[in-house]
Amino acid sequence: MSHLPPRNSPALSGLWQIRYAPAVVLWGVIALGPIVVLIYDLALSSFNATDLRIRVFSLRSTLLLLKSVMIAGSVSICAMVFAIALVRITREANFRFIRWLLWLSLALLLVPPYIHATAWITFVDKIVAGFGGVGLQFRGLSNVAGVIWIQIMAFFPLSLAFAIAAFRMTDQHQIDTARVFSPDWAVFRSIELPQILPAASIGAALVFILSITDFSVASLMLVEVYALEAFVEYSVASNSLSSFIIALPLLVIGVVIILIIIAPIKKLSISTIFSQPRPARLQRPRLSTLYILGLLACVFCALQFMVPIIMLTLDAFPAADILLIVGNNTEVIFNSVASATIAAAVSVLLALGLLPMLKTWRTLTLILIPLAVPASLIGIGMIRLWTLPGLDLVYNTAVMPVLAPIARLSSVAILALYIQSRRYDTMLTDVARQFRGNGPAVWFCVLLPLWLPGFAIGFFAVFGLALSELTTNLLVSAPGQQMLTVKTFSLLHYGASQQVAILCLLVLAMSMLSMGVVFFAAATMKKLSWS
Amino acid sequence: MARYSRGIWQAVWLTALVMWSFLLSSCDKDNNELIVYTSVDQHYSEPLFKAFEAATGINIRVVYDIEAAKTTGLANRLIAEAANPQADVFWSGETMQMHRLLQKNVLAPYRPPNLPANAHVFAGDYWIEFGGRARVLIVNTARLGNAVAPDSILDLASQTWPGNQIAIAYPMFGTTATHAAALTDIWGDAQALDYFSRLKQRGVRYVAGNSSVRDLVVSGQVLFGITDTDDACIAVARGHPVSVIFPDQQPNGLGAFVIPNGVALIAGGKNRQNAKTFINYLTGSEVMGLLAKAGWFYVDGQTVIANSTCGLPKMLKVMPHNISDAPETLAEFQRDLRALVVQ
Repeated sequence: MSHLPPRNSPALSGLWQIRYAPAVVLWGVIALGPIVVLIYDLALSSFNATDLRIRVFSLRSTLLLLKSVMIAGSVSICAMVFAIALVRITREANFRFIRWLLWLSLALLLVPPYIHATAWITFVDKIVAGFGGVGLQFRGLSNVAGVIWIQIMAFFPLSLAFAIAAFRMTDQHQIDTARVFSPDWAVFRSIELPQILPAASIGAALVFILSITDFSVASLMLVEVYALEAFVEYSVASNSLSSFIIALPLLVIGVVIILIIIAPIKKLSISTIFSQPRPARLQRPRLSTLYILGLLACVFCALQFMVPIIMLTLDAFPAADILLIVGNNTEVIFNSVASATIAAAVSVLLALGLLPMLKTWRTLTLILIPLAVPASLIGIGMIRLWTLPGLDLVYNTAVMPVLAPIARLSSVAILALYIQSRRYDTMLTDVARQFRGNGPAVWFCVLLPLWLPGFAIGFFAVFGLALSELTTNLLVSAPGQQMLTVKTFSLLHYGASQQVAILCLLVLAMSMLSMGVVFFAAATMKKLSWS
Repeated sequence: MARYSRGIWQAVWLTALVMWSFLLSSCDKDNNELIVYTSVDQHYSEPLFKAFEAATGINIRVVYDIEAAKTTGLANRLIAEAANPQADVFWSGETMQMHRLLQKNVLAPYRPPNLPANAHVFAGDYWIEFGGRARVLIVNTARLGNAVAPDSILDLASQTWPGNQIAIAYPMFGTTATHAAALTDIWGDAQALDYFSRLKQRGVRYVAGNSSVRDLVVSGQVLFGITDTDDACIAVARGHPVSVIFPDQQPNGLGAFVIPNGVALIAGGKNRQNAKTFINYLTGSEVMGLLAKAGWFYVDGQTVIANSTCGLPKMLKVMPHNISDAPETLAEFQRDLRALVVQ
């Protein structure tokens, strides 16, 4: 494909070369700054190697890390297996309710894990009590299994999104042809699996990272996990360096996983999720192990959606108190929504500014590194960075809860826009530039509409995730700027109650609304044939 | 295209509006305000803050703490901010961290003019101690059955019950840290360290906080644990199959450890007068009654003042102690304890 040279606008040619600088500097300071300052402290410190060996490689720490890896691995594999089974049966069987189930589950994509934990603990306790299990509770039946189950429920929508993307990249005609001669399992193993593996592996990897860095579910289920160690270390010792040392294994694991999924990311495209038409079926579905697994996945998906909605709604009654409690928490709600909105807007703008830089796998890896960093480390690094002389005007102000999600989640917006930007035909912009140069008209009339799905997904993904962000907000909260997640999580330890249920429902509703807007935007753009 | 452009611009304006509202609300510097850092559970402290705001018109901005880092996290934050103090008042659910803050010159002296008899100033008026919670044993009665219930903190280290059926919060923060410090005063550092070492050797479960101890006992995962009265009595009030016991009440027993709340003025705080007003309010008799009614305060000296149906006697034998005036010794003990527990 030839690229026609653009016609340079004399007014803009001088500025053209430094157009990347503001976005690069801003993102570098906000997102990489916390990590860089911790690494800098480590490099300058006289940290004793023996101390390092004692703290990080002690028997307790090693066992805790292995336990956390085992939990995260189980969660990522099981969630992806269920997701693949569900998407597969959606394509096999023409049941509309299964497709509805899929979209309803996706609507919970941005709901934080501790809300699922609250709902499931209540649900199982009620069932056990109903069967006369006096004195027994979910947290008493099985701790680690409970954590795994709840995290699978929490991260299942993310696996589902990537499973959908994965199956959109398969050639249905190849599969149908193969099924003429082979049983379903052989076809799946030989034809489908290699085609869905890139996208599925990205989904599994992201779920692994989210699972291993989450401590909210484990904390509620009274299970120790490694993710809590760095947070507790900082709280006890107020030493950012020792906290960084302790969190290093998690950081290394996250970076390794990011490096592994860089290649598959380049093959993935968002537009395929919404735009590719479903091929006509050549064969009827066959009753097989995979089909039965798919039916089980449907049940799983239904539970995943219904349990949080129903249990929290039941605990929220009487209805008369709902408005009162919401009224008492308007400031907290406003702080959360406003911070999340600004963080999402800034993240999308940063994505726009950084997009031309993402040409090599090295820059792409660098952009994704904040995703691999444990949230507690981001928070600790932010405290260290924004208390430096010259930057301390920002510390302890309302800006900190905005910077926290940008630091941690802007990579999501950048990734979304990157994937979208690789889908369009560059000849379109080349032709446009022939007539309008590099001026803003090309941006507003050609590039922006083509990139809009990426913008929308990036904005609302960061908005929803920022709304649910817990750990960094715990560390950098300014006086009087308490976030909804922090308050809810704090009240959860006091004991689940009507107030907690209502606040959880609020977070759940706002997260679902974000996803609803994404679906609506995608459907509109599909209708207008823009993606 | 026109419809798309309109939609985009609508989204941009809406986002800008939200940003502008946020900036306005954040930048609006209220001169009549107060910043409080508190490790008291938000459930108990928030209504009090709202009542104070309503009564005085002073806008309070609060930083709360969470279960996993009780009090110690906030104390560390105050020390880190000492050069440029952000807080005006520190209200703590225990008082051991006050010693540390005093050593680091974070606190400023202040004695309220009408201090009630049951509130006491310490260390040359640097902080006020008031109210109290007691350390108690919480036992799952469904699992205990007809066996004799534990009645001493020494039962955690005895061979009568399996170690993995007992729970205690990490002794590095919160009231457990204060309790550990008090034990050094009574037993000496070596014996206190030996006690926690035996707990670890027996496999006693160290957990994130006192509410986690309560939850473990309520869920039946452990038989009993040691926690605070506010956490334990919630479980009784909710009808869980647990009983609560003041430990070491025998004639030759140690007595139950009572932890008062502490409140102190922060040196260099920007709202000094409002801070004093708040401290006067907090240490008044009315607030003591409110916190007792809410279940946060349980005892005042040797008398139970809470109106709860926790099943505890009306009087208790209190552990006499004088938490060390030598913060360096205490800090060394805490370091040894931390090394023992987490490695």
